[in-house]
Amino acid sequence: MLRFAQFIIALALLSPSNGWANEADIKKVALSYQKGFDSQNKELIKKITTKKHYNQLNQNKLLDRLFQVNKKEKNKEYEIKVTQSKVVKGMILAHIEDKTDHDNHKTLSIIKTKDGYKVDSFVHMDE
Amino acid sequence: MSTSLVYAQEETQNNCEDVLNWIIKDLTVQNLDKSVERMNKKMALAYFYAHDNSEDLYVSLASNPQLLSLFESMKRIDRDFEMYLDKNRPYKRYNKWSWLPWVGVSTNNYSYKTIVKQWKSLQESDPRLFNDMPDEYKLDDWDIATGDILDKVNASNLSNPETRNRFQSLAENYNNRYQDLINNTKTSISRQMSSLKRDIDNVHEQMDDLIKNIYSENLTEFEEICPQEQFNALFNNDIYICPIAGTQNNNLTKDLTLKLRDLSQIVNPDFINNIVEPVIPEQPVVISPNLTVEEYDYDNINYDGSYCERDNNMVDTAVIHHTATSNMFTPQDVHNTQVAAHENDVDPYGNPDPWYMIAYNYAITADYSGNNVNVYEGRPTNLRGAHAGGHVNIDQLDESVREIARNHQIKCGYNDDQDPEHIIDRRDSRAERKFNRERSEGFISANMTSVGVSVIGNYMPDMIKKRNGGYSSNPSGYPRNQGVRYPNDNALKKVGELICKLKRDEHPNLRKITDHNFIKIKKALADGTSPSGTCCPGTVYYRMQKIKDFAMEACGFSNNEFILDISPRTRICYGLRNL
Repeated sequence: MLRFAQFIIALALLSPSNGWANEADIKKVALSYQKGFDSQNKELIKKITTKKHYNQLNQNKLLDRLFQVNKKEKNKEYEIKVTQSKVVKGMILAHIEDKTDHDNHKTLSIIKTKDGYKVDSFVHMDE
Repeated sequence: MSTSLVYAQEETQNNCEDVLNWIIKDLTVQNLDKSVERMNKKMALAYFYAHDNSEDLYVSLASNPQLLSLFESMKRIDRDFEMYLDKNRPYKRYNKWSWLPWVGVSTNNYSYKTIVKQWKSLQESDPRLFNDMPDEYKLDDWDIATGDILDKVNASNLSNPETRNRFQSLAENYNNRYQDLINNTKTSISRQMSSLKRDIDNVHEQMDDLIKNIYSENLTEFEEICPQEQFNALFNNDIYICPIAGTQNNNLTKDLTLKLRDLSQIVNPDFINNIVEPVIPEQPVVISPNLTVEEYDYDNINYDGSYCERDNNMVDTAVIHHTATSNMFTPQDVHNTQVAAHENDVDPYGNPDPWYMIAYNYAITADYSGNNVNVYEGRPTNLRGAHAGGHVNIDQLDESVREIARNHQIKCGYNDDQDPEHIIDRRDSRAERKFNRERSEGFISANMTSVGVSVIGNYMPDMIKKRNGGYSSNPSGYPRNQGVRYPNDNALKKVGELICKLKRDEHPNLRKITDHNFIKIKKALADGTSPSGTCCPGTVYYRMQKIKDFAMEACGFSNNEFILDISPRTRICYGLRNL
């Protein structure tokens, strides 16, 4: 009984009731998005993007064209930093950077949907 | 022959020159096909010389803003010009013939004569741009006369069937000949240049004979206005002073005009009568444009971020950006993204250093077809922006701002009471020390001496070529396989007008117009270190000359009140070189 109570308390503490998303989940989504591109797996990309963003990626057959000219990557490693903005309520950004190629980076905007967190847009931070 | 034409200035009081000028015009009218051929081939030859066999036309153009300006002017004559370029990549195979002005093609109210004058002026002022092309192949007054006639032909709208047929036939003739050249891709550039020169020489010789013949045939009428000996002296380019010029006979010029008109009617009455004065729109000179800059009330300002005030007089540069976002973004969207993305920034010592608000001082919205163009305030222009991402050596600043920068009392801090006037309530001594330390080392943040102007939209392709192979995705970019997206002229015009307005109202020392990449790498280039640039402002980079032209036009400037200070072609980002 005590164990069950501890479990409930732990669950309550871990749940994002304060409005904050679980950073690990965000990282997982961002990494899946990147891996979807690297492995040229359209289904994976579709699974972790919003419909709006997936449509955008398929506009003018962008994904197909990309896959045609890029080689498949298997073992690339990335560093991901998550920003859950306090100032802009609800905005979650994930900055993903190739560990071996620091010029290869991108920022993703991630939103919560009824099916979980999904990549909603690609934020090209050209600074 | 060509040198004698230099003397044939228009609107001269010299009667012999008038006669020669008229003959040239008459020749041009009567031999318009040859004159246009000569003019076209000279312009094509000039491009060959200017390109210096460069494979990448856009890069070549970008490195020569004046050439870019001409490129733009040619587009106004032939709206298919750029489309043709896109279809005919790589440009090495692109034959620079097809876009040249066609007889009988509408100029869209743009003056051929103006274009030819611009080319001529550029060839005179900057011969190195054309790699020291020989003088005899440069544009001359005859070419200006040719442009003038083409303007008149266009103004008449080819209403006369005979005229229309004549010019249609000419246009077809050209089309066929040029198409042959375009198809002949095996011909080397040097052979094409030799061929062009030979053709131009041939036309010269033919026209040379014709000028002499016309004078001889009309000796009776001409000699009383311009004696043969003096005509020959002028024609042969000897030192010549026309004894009639400046005499007290005020009716002489009038007589000459009447005689020439009579002559012209004899030569070809139908054609001449159908030529009316061209209706060429005057270039509007709007000094101090009445540009509306919309106020913008930004939500989500990060009051944990500090910012610095600046003396408006220390701004000498307008930095042009694109937002690399969808053009549906509002300034608030841009602000939100930037504030959120930089919420956790830290300075080199690990202290929090978040952004206060939108990086740019101005944001311009426009859809890609050039509608809904609006200029919005961003970060107030009396505050240092966060857009440039580089430094400038104080010694390299314009003289007018150098001393101001050296003596500026920096004030940075926080807007604790969140007032809309952005008044500093608490000083940020760390930021102030940083500024003073950098200044003592001879440089300052480029944000301090520049105003950031951003065109909202994505002007990069949806697939960006990477230096180390492959492509990266850029979903809000334009489809790479469907041609290049450039900013619309309406948006560029607003940028130009804004720069003019800023010089007038806010930053009197504003002079340089630069692209984001260049301001970012400028100091590193000057210091000989390895610069880290950016692709910003995308293809807006290739329209910097236009922005300057619009700014000059809006302010009614004609000299070097604004100058372009843009990335050299070898320093633009890789993805922008290979569109």
